[in-house]
Amino acid sequence: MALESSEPSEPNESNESTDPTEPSDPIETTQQRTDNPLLQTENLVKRFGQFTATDRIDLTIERGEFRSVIGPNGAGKTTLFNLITGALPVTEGAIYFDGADITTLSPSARVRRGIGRSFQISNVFGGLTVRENVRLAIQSVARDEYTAVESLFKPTDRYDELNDRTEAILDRIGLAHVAAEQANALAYGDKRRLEIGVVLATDPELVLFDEPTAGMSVEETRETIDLLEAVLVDQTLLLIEHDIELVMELSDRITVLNGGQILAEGTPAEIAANQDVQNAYLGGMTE
Amino acid sequence: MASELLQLLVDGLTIGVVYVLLAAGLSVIFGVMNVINFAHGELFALGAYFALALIAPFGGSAFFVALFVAPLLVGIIGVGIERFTVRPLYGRNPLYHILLTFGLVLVINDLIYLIWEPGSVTLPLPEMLSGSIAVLDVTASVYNLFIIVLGALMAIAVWAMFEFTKYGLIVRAGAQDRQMVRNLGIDIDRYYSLVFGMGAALAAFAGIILGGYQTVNPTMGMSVIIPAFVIVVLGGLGSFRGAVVGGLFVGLVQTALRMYAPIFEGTGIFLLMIGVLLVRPHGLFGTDAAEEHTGDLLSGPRGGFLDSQTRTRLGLAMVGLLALVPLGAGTLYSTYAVTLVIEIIIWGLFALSLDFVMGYTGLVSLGHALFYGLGAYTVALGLSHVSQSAFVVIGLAIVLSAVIAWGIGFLSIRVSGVYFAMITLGFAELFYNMLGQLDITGGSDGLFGLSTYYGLAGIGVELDEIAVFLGPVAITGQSLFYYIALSALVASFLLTRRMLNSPFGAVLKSIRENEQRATFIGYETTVYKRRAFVVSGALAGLAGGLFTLNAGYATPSLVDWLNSGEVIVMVILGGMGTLYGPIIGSGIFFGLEELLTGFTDRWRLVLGTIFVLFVILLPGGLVSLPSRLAPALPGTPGRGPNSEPEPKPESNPDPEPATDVDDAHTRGDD
Amino acid sequence: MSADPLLSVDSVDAGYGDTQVLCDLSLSVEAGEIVSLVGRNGAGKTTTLRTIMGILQPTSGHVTYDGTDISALDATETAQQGLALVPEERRIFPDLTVTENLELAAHGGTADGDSLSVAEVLEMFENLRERAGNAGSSLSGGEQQMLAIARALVSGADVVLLDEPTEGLAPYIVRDVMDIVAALNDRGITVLLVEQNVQVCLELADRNYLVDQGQIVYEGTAAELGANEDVLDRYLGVTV
Repeated sequence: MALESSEPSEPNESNESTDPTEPSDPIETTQQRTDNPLLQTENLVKRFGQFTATDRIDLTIERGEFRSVIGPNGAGKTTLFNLITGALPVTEGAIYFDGADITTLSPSARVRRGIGRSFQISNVFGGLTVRENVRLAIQSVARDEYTAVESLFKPTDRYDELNDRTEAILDRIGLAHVAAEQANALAYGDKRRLEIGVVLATDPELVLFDEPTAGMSVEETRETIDLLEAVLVDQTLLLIEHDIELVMELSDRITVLNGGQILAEGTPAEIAANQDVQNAYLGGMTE
Repeated sequence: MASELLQLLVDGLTIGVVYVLLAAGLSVIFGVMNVINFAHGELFALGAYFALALIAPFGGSAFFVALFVAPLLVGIIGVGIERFTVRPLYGRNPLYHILLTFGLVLVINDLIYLIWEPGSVTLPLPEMLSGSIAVLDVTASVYNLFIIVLGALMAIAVWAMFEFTKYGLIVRAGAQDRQMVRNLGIDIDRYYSLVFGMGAALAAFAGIILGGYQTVNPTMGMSVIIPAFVIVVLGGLGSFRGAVVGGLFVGLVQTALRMYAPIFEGTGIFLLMIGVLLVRPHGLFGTDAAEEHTGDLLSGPRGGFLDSQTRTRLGLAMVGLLALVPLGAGTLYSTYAVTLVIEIIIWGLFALSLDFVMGYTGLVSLGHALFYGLGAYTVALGLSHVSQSAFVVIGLAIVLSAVIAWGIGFLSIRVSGVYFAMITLGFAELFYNMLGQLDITGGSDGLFGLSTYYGLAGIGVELDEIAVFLGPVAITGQSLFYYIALSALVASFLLTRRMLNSPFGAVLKSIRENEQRATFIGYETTVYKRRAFVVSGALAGLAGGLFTLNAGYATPSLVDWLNSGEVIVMVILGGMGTLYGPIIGSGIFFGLEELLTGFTDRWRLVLGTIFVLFVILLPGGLVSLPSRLAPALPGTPGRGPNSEPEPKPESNPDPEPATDVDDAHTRGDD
Repeated sequence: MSADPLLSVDSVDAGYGDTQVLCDLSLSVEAGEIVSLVGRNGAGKTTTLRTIMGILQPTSGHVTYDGTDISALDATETAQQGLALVPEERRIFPDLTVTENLELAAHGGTADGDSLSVAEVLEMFENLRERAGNAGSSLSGGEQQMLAIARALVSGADVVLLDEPTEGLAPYIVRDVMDIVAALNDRGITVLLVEQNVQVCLELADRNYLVDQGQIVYEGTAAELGANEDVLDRYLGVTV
């Protein structure tokens, strides 16, 4: 979204003025967009040998939502993420993104459709500069704008538009001043910013976060969350998190997994009041 | 018919048993230590020669003694090799073991030449093993049956040792999870020497029995190592069962092909291996557990000791200096200097082509000589059948190499790591054997007597016809070609450098840094690796084409796996992931060879020793030397050669061990 | 409790490459105790166990066991001193049978002869006995955990470092694992337990350490920790 704001075009207005014959078109599209949930899984199953890690999950995430997935260790949160991003093949069931079946798409094809994934801190290209990290992500989304010859032979520093977009992202995540540094050399918090910047640069509609605050102090957690909220305003977010308090505060809706199944789903208030959830989170010790 | 099949069975099993013994050690050494031991073939040969030496004073009856003493001695040598050369490299990428053991091949092989006669010798056998017995309609030599029975007993003994002894249990566990064995308080490193020694002894044993069946000669190691690797890969790296099944299978298939379809005798097993790997990327009995992520390749100059401006100046100075070489030929030094530097330039280009794919995407191609040979043969065939124009045939060589590289890349890039190396080796050996068999390629003699003219559509010259006079200096044929080769090298260097600075190159670098992350910002990494492989293949084809243009011939030996090995040596020698390092590597390689042949006939011994020391002491290549020498200087972060293989930081929370993507786990910390 | 602790970690710094995970971490475990380390993901719990075990060497500080400084020992040597690590991923040898897994462990560990034999251990673990000839890879998660603990037993360890033993297990199996840990302790084995499941710690452990950012931020008995909602909330994000 940041990319579009930095571009001069105003697609909606031009559409309406140049195409008076079809004034309803943009509206219809929006209509359709709201009809389809952004992400939907149907009867999703993942088995490892005899072990069922994901057990018939039906998950629906609406556009613009902030959804969190919580659950005790081993509940199947990471597996669910890996299925959605395509890191693991599904055993049964289907995944729809924006109405289209993406069940068999490769991870990179899903990224290009708009599913971004944030990794843990160390997962940037450590040996490349901060700028190169961001530019790689920009370049990935913009690759169709250039010919094969250009992408093979034209030096990266001569793509003005890509570089402008890169700088815009760098500004937005507050790393413009260290753009020429190696990513490995960044301080902890800055690496975190870069990680988010790289995801943002792929222009995702949906961003998946796997415990973005793991290992952080209360203050760092706060900062990271503030950054996420500030930078990813237009995105739909799906978060795995251990910290229940954080989840309660941030989420629009919460899905609780247990034993690979959805145990409960609802608003934070509903989840807080749910007795099953209380039990599951305490490891079923009361049974 | 039945007797024929029986005959096939006897002959096939004889060879099969030898293969089993050879492959078992190789496979277990890989499974437990992650070491790809190219020197295994030489240990095999050493076994036969030790036996020869032991039998000679006493005559054939000493055979039985030698059969057990010689493997013991070779086993001790194996222990020594493990202790002093392999051990310092644990935790590094298996590629370094390839380089190390390649050096050991040179050393051991040259020692054999140094100590024993260069020709073939017959191993004296005791009388009771000579002669033959007839069963039904089949006459089998006693020795064949002896080999089969003894080999089978030996294989069973080894299997039983793995299965039922404490030692075997520990080794098997080590092949599955080394660190956990350590956590249990077992010093697994102590067992490595034994495993290596045992593998060496088995190889020696196999060498003796094959030596008795055929002859003992210094190239016997070279001729079995590739089939042995095929068997190991076919059966699954690290799998003893795979080695047994694969060994017998390949022995029988080879024998059957020789009897019924001799045209496929050389190629059959490679087709088999490629076919199996495409269907089962980890071999028949392999699991992906055998292939664990070990240390990274050390690529790039690591810290950039010289700034880019200095490097550019140095590069320009180098090119300028090279441009002067032909001017002094015949006066300051012999014209041979020009020939030598042409060789350096062509191989420098070949090494550069390999670096583009190996140093930037981490794909280790062990069969790159395929493209070199393909370029050479395309030029040779093109000159005889298509056009006499050097430019046309070189163009053809580049295009055809690129197309074949795409095809091979399409089939092989889905398999990773060591298996990729092996499948490319398989393709190269397949091509090698095809060249020797097809009439159009001139069989094992190759194609020669080619003449070229430099021009298009009938307008042009033959190099020998012209001379350019620069004052007193005449530049003729060979020297003119020198400038053509130098231009090709410089142009290729500039082209690949340009590509690496493009968006395409940025993606290659990102793959080298962190392939998983590259996937999750939207790149189909296999597509990019394949493209890099195509570029690399095309450049290797150019190098091979230049060779034939200059030399006027092409022979199958251009595709010999030793060439694939040597080019890897050059890349690592100079420094991987730099583009210019491999060119320097080529210079050093041929320079050393030239220097050493001047001093001693045993130059390969010295060269091999240098590789061994080099890979242990300076794995980052010569280009890393400045930053190694000056760690205190600012701007040179002294990144040591020992990247930690084991630790996974806890900040990589993966609360569901059964569910994690293996990559996510292991790549997390680099 | 005035004697020297059996195991103590003093002001240890440790990490991976450039990343420091443990900062000046200290803790001690008395003979016969069950001590737990709790904390969020990434706090440094597993790193603490790895450092004690010698898989990771501390960059400063000391690990002392039974009066001996074991900071410089590697994993093999540490195991030979009588410490056993049951790692989070369990790391059962997948192609070895249950019996072979145990026999292997019997070859390792201490040589002081007070360890249980494979047969004795199989006697203790009924479900393993039934599957003695099966390959490690065919075991369920719970069975693998049992086997991992059983391995520590046959190795003759005096101290067992347990990393998240209940992770990913069904509640009734969690109960079994807890019983086993308690049984270990009854045999005189000292346990250092890393757990995310606070309830397990509160029930099993004599004392609990709370780890955050590579440091110990709280120490207390189960009763103290259970009653300290502020600490639980702040560092673990759970309310009991």
